[in-house]
Amino acid sequence: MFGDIIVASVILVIVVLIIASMVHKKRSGMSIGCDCGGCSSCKDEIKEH
Amino acid sequence: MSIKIALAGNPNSGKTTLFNALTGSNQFIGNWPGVTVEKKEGKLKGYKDVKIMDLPGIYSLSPYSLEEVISRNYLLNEQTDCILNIVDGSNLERNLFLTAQLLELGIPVVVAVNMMDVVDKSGDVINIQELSTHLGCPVIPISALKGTGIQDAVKAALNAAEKLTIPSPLMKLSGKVEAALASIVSMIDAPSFIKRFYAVKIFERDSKFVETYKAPSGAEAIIASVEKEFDDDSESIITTDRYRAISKLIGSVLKKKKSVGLSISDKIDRVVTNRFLALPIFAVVIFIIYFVSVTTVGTWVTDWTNDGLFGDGWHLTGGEAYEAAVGDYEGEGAKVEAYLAAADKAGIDTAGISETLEAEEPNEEVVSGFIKEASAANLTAETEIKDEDGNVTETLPVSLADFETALAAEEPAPEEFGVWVPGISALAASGLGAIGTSEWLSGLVVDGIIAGVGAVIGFVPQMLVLFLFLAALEACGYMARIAFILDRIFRRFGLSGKSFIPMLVGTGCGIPGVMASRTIENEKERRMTVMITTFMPCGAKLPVIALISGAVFGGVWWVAPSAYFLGVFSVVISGLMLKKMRMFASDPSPFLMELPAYHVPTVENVLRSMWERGWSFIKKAGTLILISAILIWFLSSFGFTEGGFGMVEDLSQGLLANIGGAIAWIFAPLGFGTWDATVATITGLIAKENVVGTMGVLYGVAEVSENGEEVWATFASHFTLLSAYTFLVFNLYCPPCFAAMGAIKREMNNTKWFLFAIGYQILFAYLLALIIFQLGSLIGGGAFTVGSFFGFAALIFIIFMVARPKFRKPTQLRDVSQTV
Repeated sequence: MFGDIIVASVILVIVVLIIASMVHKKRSGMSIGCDCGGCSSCKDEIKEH
Repeated sequence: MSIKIALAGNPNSGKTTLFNALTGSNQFIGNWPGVTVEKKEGKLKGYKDVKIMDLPGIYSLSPYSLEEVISRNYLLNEQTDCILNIVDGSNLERNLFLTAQLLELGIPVVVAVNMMDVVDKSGDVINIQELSTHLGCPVIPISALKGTGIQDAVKAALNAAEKLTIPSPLMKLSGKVEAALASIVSMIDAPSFIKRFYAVKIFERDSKFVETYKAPSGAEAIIASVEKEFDDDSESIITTDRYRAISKLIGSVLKKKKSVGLSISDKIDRVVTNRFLALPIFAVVIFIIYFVSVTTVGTWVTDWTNDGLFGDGWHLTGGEAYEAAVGDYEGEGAKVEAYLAAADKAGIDTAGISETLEAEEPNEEVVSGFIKEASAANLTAETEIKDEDGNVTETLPVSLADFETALAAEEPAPEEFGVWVPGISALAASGLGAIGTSEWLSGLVVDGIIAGVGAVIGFVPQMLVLFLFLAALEACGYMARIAFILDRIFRRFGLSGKSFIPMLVGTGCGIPGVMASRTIENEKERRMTVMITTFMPCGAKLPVIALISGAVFGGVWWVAPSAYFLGVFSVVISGLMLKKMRMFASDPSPFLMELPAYHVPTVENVLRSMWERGWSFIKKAGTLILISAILIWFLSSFGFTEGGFGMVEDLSQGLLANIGGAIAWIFAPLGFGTWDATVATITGLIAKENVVGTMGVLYGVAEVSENGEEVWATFASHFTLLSAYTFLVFNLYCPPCFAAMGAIKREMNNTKWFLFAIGYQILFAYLLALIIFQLGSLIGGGAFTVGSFFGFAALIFIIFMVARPKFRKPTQLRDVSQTV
């Protein structure tokens, strides 16, 4: 039971963080899942947001 | 106070290389013009308040292309403190045309003469001091690639920005033009530092400029009089005059070494752009890249990642001994099978013993009962020993004693041989077991997250090898030649070589590929390019190619290159079909592109480009794919059973199977109408890596089973060779992913066009897969069915669309104002 709580909590936190970052990225006008490799400017712009 | 420095210069003059060096950024660079289509902002390393803006490459400040409008608007409206004008020292005359215009903007300018290493190597000498005097601004020699002179250029730019030193060039136009400009300047009501630029724009009758700034009433008479005198239009008069002044300047500042024949670049181009050799060389280069990436170097590492790192584990030492033990164990298994087959043939019932031998703990009574019967019948058998190619090398007799010995053989445990490193799956499973995690949660972590993400991550080595090759080809200058080579072919189906650049960029990722279409002036050609760019296999599609190639085709050499060439074929056929439609009918725009000199790419730039692309792939696996894997695991592991909603034992009872099963009929004519393949295709629309991730969760592709060769066997068992290939074809050419679809929508800037583009991609992928499967089935000896009829109908439809007469309509240039 204790193990279940730990593992489930870790997964939940990771999922929430990923979704939050995706929403943030989308609101910043970036493409989710862009593979272009030129995303440093995206990173900078997200930081500024 | 913050300072804004804008990097401006001709295409392929090295702006982005300098931008990366100044900001520590990793913007994508390529040795061909038009890489930067959007302005990019960064902060100067070591200076918190200094912003650097990388502008798209332009040849002038005229309003004829989107890049020119973007750059000009930025320089005029964003209060730039200094322009750092990057000038290609090896093409000084052409580059100074833009410089001459920048000097008129009333903004401090510092000219950085780039590629000085190339200039020095060629033996040419540029008199920097004299150039500076004539231009009326600081001139700094640099090499952005080698990193020399960069800090001097930065210091000069900061100094000019702080002191607000407006350039005062000595270079003048001809007397009559200068007099006309002076008259117009006197009529203009504007700050004195910008009056000259306004006067030139009014003189040129610049369409975009006069929209916002009304020309003084007396200006037109002055312009008309000069035009009459020169017998030319005002814009051409300015252009000719500028080049005349620049040419005079070049004569005094540049000492060229006497030409000694063709340069090395010219010599290489005589071979690689040769009328007859160019295309075969291109085909061989692409074949080698994909062959090495997918079937050799990449595969060795990918196999280890899939089977070892994300599987049970791998041997540091003792691997050979373990393989030998596994071979012996399999030999014993073959003896059991042969003996049971012989017993069956002899009329002894083997159903009971076969069943008990598959159980975890065989029933001793059943075994001993069988042995008694076999003994009474004095049964013997023969087993065949085969080599790696499946040829029988030896036949061994199997007696009852041999059978009993074989039954007692135990499967070798890998940890008992040498140094064994457990894989992530095995470690996670044992770790979760140790802390008493429930079976369902352990399933979520091992079968959902690790299997799904691991299946995708496993292909990273192959992608890195591919990206390494592509980065090297881009950096050395060969990619620009490919655009030139393909122009001849592209022109025949309504596109120009310029359309190849988006497709070339699209081999890395479709999103920047679609965005790169902005460099195409002809609107119809641009829309067509947006629609077909994603037919080129992007990096995310590589795992799908590698999975089908490895799992179903046994790593045969032609599958991966065929995906690339089929992509080119799809582009060609689509071009031929679309250009016949009224909405795309126009003549292709002329192809003008500067071929950069070949240069040896720097290891740092190539590795950085490779890593940036690879890293974004890994990041996606850890975010989007991870979420998808969890969702797929949940939907496949839970469903409605007789006892209500809960976890199901068989995946075919899960929610996912129900959803996939309901729409699988759509794909039945393509040969893969199963719920699992349908689900993989649909999740692939979110991101193409999901196709592999979904297979990972559903079939456990990332896990190693008892025999290493069985890793992909489960996957392969769901497909025939033909259906696997059509599955690959449909997934490669249908819309790539949500992100790319978003990019298509942005670039089309119109919902109807966006829906048409997506609809076309789905229809084309469907018809192509349908034709391959139905005709392939017929060729393979299948019967003529309703599906075959539709396969032929689709083929005839495509041939008709390609061969029908062309609709004639004049070329329409894009109105760039609508996109700014």
